[in-house]
Amino acid sequence: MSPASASPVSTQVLDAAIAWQLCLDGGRGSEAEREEFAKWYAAHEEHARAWTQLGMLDQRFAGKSTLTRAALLRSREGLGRQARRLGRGIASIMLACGVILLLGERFLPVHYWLADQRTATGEQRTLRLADNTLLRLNTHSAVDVRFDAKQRRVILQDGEILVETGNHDDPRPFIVETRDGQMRALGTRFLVKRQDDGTLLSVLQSAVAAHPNADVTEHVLHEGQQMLIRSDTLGPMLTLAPGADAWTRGMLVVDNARLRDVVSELGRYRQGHLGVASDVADLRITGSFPLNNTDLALKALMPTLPVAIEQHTQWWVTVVADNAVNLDKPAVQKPARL
Amino acid sequence: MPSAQPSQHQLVDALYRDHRGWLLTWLKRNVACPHRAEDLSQDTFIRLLGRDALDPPREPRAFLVSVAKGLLFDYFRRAALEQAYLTELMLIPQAEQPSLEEQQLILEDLKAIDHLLGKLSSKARAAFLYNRLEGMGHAEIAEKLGVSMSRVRQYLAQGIRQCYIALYGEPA
Repeated sequence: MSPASASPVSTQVLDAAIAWQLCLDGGRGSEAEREEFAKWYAAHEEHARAWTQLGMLDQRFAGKSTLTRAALLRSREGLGRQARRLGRGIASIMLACGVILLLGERFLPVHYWLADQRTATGEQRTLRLADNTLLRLNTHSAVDVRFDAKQRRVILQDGEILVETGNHDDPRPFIVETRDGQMRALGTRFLVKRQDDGTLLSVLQSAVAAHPNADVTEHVLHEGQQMLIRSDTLGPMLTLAPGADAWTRGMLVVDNARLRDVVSELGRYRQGHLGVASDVADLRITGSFPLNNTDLALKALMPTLPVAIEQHTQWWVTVVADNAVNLDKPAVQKPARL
Repeated sequence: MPSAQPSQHQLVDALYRDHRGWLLTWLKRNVACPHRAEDLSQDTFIRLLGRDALDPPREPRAFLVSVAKGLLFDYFRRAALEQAYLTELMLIPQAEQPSLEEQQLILEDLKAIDHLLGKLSSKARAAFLYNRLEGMGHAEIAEKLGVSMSRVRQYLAQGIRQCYIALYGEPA
């Protein structure tokens, strides 16, 4: 638990403390007011605590560099302009893709601006980092790149990446971080994927040492191994599913997978809603599907499974039972051909 | 997946089906980058799925726009700050520019302060920053922003309160 000095005071005391701060701001306030304040301050531990906390808050803004202050004050001007335009149908230049990046490259090494990279839904992109590490971002993924004198750190904020570490002579450790834990590359090629239930680490080559946030003891995963990392614990060691890295070649490869899992996976690569009716969701399928054309991938389901594609708009697609086929008969499983 | 109620899912599904195209058009008019507009429209519905309780809105489109606007403002804010930082950086002669490590620290600090100031209105944010960073008095800020002194005090109180909550949590 946080120490008493950091726990919030009551609304009433906070309001009073703020009122006092505004009253005494910049050495103003009459003699009488200052006496009154001294009484208020001494009257209760909570009053003193609130005042100390506001003082610490002041410290947070003190001693900023000229650059920091100027950027903060200037940002407000840009913001006001943007905000006033909202809803009036004037496309804003501020949000044009890549404007910030472009400006930055004129003044700073490119690798610096690799921080806060993201891919849109359906987009994949490969980045080469300053140490020659290749980072491939899958659909709808976001990373921050933080290299300094001591370490090479990549923070996976969302989605999935393939890491191929570059300079193996670089003495700085290469670390991938997610909200669940940390993974230290041991000269290697591996996948990291953020899921709702944790971070999935799949080692394709060499080894990776991983630990959850709550426990710094590292466990080493070798080539062909896979593990779900939760913030408090590591899951069991699993064998890497074949085709785990097929997305890096633009394909989804599945072996006897449930239709619901295949559809949910394809859904990551397209805008809009992609659903599956519950009466066909547990059908099994084997095959490979193109990720850069999910419409084609969905069509490829039809000759294999007793399903039809119901399309309301481009953004609302559902895989349903094909009424012409009797579902009581076992589904014929053929590999999907493309 | 988060444990949203089935009925809530159905409600979001229906909103999505009926109004997603419209919302995307609205976003594209306000956001020059089409990818960003797509992302924001997806994020709007994802945010709705994450809500604890959701009643069927009387005006679905106005409701969706209000949610999307919140996301847009966060984005505008961050983009404006980065842009402002770059502009200021360019005004500094090459020889005097901070090192990359220093720039990294400054950017981290800017993001942290941006988080502290949260959803303050543009004017409240300006008043608070003039006061804290430039040491301007209430009268000077009132003149600069073209508002009354009492309004300036309201802005400052909002700023202090917002930072207090970000640092220590909601007052009990």
